[in-house]
Amino acid sequence: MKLFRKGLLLVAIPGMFELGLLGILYKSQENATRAEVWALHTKDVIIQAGEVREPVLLQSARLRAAIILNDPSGLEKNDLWDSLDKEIGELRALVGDNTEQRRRVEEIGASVREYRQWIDIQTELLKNGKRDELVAALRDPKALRLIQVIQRQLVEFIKVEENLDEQRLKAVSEARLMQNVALVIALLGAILAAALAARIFSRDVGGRLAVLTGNALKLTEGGVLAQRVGGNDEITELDKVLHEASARLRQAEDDARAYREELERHARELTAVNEDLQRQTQDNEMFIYSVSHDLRSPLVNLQGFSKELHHSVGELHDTINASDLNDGDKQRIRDIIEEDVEVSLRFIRTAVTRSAAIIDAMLRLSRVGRVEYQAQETNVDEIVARVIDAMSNTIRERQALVVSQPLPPCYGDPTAIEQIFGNLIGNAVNYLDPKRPGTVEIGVLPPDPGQPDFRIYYVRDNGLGIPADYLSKMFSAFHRLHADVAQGEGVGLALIKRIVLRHGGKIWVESVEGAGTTFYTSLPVRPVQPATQLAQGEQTHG
Amino acid sequence: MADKDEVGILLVEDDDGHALLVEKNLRRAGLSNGFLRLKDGQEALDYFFNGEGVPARERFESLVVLLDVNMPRVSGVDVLKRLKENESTAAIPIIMLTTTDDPREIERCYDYGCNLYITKPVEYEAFIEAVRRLGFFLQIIKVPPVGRGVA
Repeated sequence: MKLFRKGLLLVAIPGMFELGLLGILYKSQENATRAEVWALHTKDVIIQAGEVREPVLLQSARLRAAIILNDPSGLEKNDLWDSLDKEIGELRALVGDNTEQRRRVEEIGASVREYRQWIDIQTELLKNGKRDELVAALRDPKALRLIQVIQRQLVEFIKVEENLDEQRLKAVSEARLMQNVALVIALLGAILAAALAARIFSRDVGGRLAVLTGNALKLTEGGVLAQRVGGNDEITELDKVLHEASARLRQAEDDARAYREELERHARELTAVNEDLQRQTQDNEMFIYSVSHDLRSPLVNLQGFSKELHHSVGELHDTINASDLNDGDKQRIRDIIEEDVEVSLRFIRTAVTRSAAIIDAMLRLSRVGRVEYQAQETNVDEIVARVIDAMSNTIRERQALVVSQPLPPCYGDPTAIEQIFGNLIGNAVNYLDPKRPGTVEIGVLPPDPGQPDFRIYYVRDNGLGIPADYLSKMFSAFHRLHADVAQGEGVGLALIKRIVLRHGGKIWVESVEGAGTTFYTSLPVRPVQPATQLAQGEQTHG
Repeated sequence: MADKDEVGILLVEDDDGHALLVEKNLRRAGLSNGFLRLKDGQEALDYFFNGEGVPARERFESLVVLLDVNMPRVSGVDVLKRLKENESTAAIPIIMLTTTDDPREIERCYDYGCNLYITKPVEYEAFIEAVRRLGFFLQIIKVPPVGRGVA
């Protein structure tokens, strides 16, 4: 039921009650009024009955006077009879509703008619001078009885009517009482009905509104909603909406939780994989480290003993010179020593030196992953200036121009950062094109709003450049492009890539063969979270 | 064996080739000191201490120990530790020889009190020079019991 209808009922129920009571009141008032009317009517009847008696008595008096005066003229007038007829007619009309009284009126009428006939006979007697006869008749008790009958009938009629009057008065007072009682009942009933309706309404609507308010509050606080309120009005609908909202909220929360758990699970898996990878990398580095070490020991012997052989060759020469062999034999032996033994030894020594360099490079590479960084705010400007200073001889030799923009600081291990720039600037200088004046520029890109924690430095040269096919191998260890131009084992870029990655940054290269190369490296501005480090990876641009 | 007036050289080295190379180069460099080679750390400990772990001699004068780090049984670092822990042997100058140039390893040896740490080079000249200079140096002054940066 709608609230409007409920409100309407709130007004209508006591209203209907009052209407009913009003009807009863009206009815009782009508009854009282009718009872009063009847009471008045009875009085009228009684008075009218008196009116009937008067002309009868007058007629009797007139007869007596006529007899005394012996003059019948007074008796010939019909006015009293007419009046009598009229009064009886009126009386009859008044009691038309009461058959018993009407019968009595008819009897009175009959008695009057009988009396008139008797009077008429007396009048005739008087006219004819039979006065004596008349007096005798007058003395006749029968004549007296006629009057008395009328009198008695009238008295009886009035008595009945007075009884009626008494009854009717009683009815009037009863009706009045009833009316008062009804009035009081109507008043009390109306108040009671209104109070009851108000109470029911407030209990129904008010109670449910309280539940509804509680539910709304719980919804904001995220608590569990109370049971649904009953009924089928707007409150119920609102409550239903609240419950639906709550359910949807709960569903959304569950979804969010599930999603979060899923994310966390992925993060855990990622962490585990990452840890595993790190462990593997460490294992690999440890393996490389120990293998390099073990390889070094025999190399020491190879190098040492080839040197010993070299010394022995010297002694051999001395011995030959001092010997008494003929010159031809001496020369032959010298030739063998020079051309076979010495040349072979040179090759061995070169090979050993090369192997030793490779092993050293491997050791350096493995150490990059194991060495502990002392990360701090690092002045890149100073580091680059130091690197350029250390390379000033080479730069002069190559007649190169090396310029550095003002460089903002980064957050990292100063030694490692120096390695990065030393390597990049060293490469740039070493691989300049001898055919044109070389320039190397060190700078920083404008801050990237998407990567507020990182700064991108670059080292740009107008050197030999890198063929597109080779770009993808740039950061792999032991790859050398210009083996003839400069010394090295081809681990420099692999080394600094490892350093940059360990700092959470990235390194990549852009190059046009014959025009120049630009190396970019992003380095953190402030301490990086491990998660950020995960997101960073290797990247190579063509 | 160590002569009373000369600096004796005790080489503890498991690799025969290395041992021979060290001796040859020292000789060629003009060091004529007494020379003894032991094959591993256990032999070195047996040389310095008797069965009860008591020093075999009261004093070890005019002696330089060249100690390889990586050896079977007892490593050079363990020998270094034992020698520097004992009062009688703590003053012996010790040169660590190794193929490792790991800074942590070097740090560890200096913490235990080694006097010099030399990475076994493929080129021997630098090594010989270092030993020679240390030898001359040791002929003039005593080395503090535990110290760093003597070289």
